[in-house]
Amino acid sequence: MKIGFLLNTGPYTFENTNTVVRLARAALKKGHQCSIFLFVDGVINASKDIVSPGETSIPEQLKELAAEGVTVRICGECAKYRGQKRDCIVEGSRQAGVGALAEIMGSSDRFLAFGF
Amino acid sequence: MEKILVLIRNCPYGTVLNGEAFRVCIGLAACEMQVEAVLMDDGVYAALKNQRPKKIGMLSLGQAYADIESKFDVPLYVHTESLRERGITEQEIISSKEISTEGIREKINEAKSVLTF
Repeated sequence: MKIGFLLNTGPYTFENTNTVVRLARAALKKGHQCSIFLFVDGVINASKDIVSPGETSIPEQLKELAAEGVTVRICGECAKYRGQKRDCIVEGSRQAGVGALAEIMGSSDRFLAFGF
Repeated sequence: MEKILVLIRNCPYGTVLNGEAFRVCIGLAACEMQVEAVLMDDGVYAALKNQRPKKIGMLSLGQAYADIESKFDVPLYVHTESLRERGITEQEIISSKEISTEGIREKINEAKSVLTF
């Protein structure tokens, strides 16, 4: 099964990121395919320079998921508004437009949205 | 074509969410997805006529939503109960279709995916 996620909230503020990461990991273990689209403040989750002493590194988790085959796409327009440049995002992720969201939604058997 | 339902629950201008919902609607519609939008809860304030957000340096979401069906082929509904709870009359909002709570429930059941902003 293909599972798509939309994540609208930033890191270390809401539980949403942890939920998406854990669900994606669990889905991968069961043999499902996953895609994550980071939108609005959600794009900040993929900032590779985030420092979180004593806490789990969210960008590192996204990098690991991408390395395991999860498609991680970041809204380029949202990134622009938040000063996030292409060379500041985690390895394996890529900036894209809303068209990428449409592609993920269209190809997913299940689509889960996490917002405010 | 599978339906995408966008529920817009946050007020315009106070946060980016209402405007981002509009952007998602037109973006998905441009990718030939069948998108429907519902303004509900504080989101219904985006349907008010005569918005003048120029003073805060923003474009009018009211005008954007007024044109969303004709320009982008995205049907727009405004939740009747949310309007009533806020004392907003039919004369005060842009031309759009009203929808009941039951109507929204049906649309959620029909949709392949639901996005909430």
